[in-house]
Amino acid sequence: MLRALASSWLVCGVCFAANAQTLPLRQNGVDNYAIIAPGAISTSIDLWQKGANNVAVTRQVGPVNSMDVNQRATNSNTAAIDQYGVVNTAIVTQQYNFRYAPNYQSGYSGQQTSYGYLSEFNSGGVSILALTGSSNTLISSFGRNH
Amino acid sequence: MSGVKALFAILAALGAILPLQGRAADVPASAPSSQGDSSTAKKADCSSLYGSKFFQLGDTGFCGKAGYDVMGFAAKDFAAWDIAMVGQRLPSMTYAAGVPVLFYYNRNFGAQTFYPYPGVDAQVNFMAARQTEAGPLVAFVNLRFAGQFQSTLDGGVSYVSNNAVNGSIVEGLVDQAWVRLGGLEAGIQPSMFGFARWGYSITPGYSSLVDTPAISYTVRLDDIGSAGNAASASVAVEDPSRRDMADGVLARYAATRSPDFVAQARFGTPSLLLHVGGALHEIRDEAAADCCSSPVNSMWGEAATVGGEYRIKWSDLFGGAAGDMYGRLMIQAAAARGAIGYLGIPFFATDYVADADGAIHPTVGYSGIASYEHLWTPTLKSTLTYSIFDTSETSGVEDLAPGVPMWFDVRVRGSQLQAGVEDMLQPDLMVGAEAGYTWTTASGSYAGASAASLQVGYPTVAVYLRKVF
Repeated sequence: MLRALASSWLVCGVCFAANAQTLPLRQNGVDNYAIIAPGAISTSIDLWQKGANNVAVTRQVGPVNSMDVNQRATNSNTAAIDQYGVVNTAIVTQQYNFRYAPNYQSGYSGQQTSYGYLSEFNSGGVSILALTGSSNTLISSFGRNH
Repeated sequence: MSGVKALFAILAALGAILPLQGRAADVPASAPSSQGDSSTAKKADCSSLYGSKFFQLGDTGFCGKAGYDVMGFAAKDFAAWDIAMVGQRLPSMTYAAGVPVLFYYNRNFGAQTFYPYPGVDAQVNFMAARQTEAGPLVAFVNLRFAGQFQSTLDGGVSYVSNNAVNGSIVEGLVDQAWVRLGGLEAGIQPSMFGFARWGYSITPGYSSLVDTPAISYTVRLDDIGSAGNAASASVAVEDPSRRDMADGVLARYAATRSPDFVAQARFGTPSLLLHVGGALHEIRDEAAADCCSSPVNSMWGEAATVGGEYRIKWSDLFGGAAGDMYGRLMIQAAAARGAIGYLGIPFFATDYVADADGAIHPTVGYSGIASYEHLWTPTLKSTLTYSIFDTSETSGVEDLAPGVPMWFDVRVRGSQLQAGVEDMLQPDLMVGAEAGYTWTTASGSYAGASAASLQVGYPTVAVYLRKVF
């Protein structure tokens, strides 16, 4: 009986995560860094990285956490995944010697998503993406006055 | 309010409640005591002692002078794009405070700079002076209201103050308010670090010229070598908060514990003025401490400057062919480490970066300015000013996760060329125009990988009408 209850809880949790809207994140710079640490909410995130070097550092602390990391690199793939939830699922796929068309465009964007604040910095092949919750979003903006 | 801030607040209040105007240099240091018998004689004494604009202040023994300087202008900023900075602390599995990183990018300012904008820079001041046994007693206050109306991102119009202090227009209203007895001066006064001006142009070049609550002491030696030569040395404790360059994320100052210690030495002849200055600026950071309970980390930032101004009568070099043309040239350079506020540059770098473990990385930089003013006729002059700056801001190597290090190294450089012409329509009424061009370049690397270099440039133009008394 206890086993059945646990199984149904797990299935229910997986269903919840599967039903939650998955946030797709894409990077195709030369050196890609994704730092994903949303707040204490259930999150489902799909991260794709294509580049020479890919780094994914994720930390999910919601009740139901789903992380799908897909890395394709010519040199190196690194994934560090922490999940502290009741139901956690993580899939990591890493491929090497993978050809890609790097994005050398430059720019910065920041926007609020349902999973937290998403910032993306791209410059000359360096791509740094961060998804943060309300308690760990520490961002400043400054420069010349106009 | 920290003890140091409270002390400076008291000094500022002390300076503000006393009757004031003018600059200390306007009052002869060795003027004798004036004690006439009749009011006419007293008025004559004030004029002869301090200048024609001074008058007797009742029977107080003080001479006073009131003045104003009002400039209205219209300007156009053609910067559709400019470099902007973003500081962020990236979440880390290793450090609760987060790993600091500084981004740069091209930001669109087109909505704010599309229309020309009007502005004003109005100052009114009052000085009172008298001789005492301890030396000249001088009090001065200058109230300043400077700002402009400009478009906002949402299509509206807002007033932007050019002299707000810590975001407060009211606090910035009291530009100067100080009392001096002999060589001792207390109140809101020009910092001892800065040179006499930020170039001869109307719009400032890259040079620090800050009024700040302070206590200073100056010793002066006259007639060194020959008549007209003088030297002075000054020391001051100044309000550090007006120099802080912090964004609250990469750098966040804890409560002030120590004032800035500033020293200055000058040597002057009738045609030459040389200036050297230095400052120590305490850094006490809490950007990391708030997050991970690490202790407040501190160090001393430092800055130094050298400058010189030379005045020339061109007929001394070229004879009568040069007519009555005069000129003056100023050159100044400043360097700073952990005290970028002393460079007088746009906010492209914080004073320092606090690593996630609390370690402080001071930002280094320099600025320089060369400016020339040419007096073609007694009423017509032109100016040319060129300024540069360079900052380099870095962080330490810290782990986003075990074995995943991150660090950054961002450099921002810039230069600015300004040219202006001004005509005196009538005594104390000037009309002028100025044009400038600004260049800025940013480059950097992240975890050793080079990012793209960004360059922007844009012109500016301004016309103005200025009335002084």
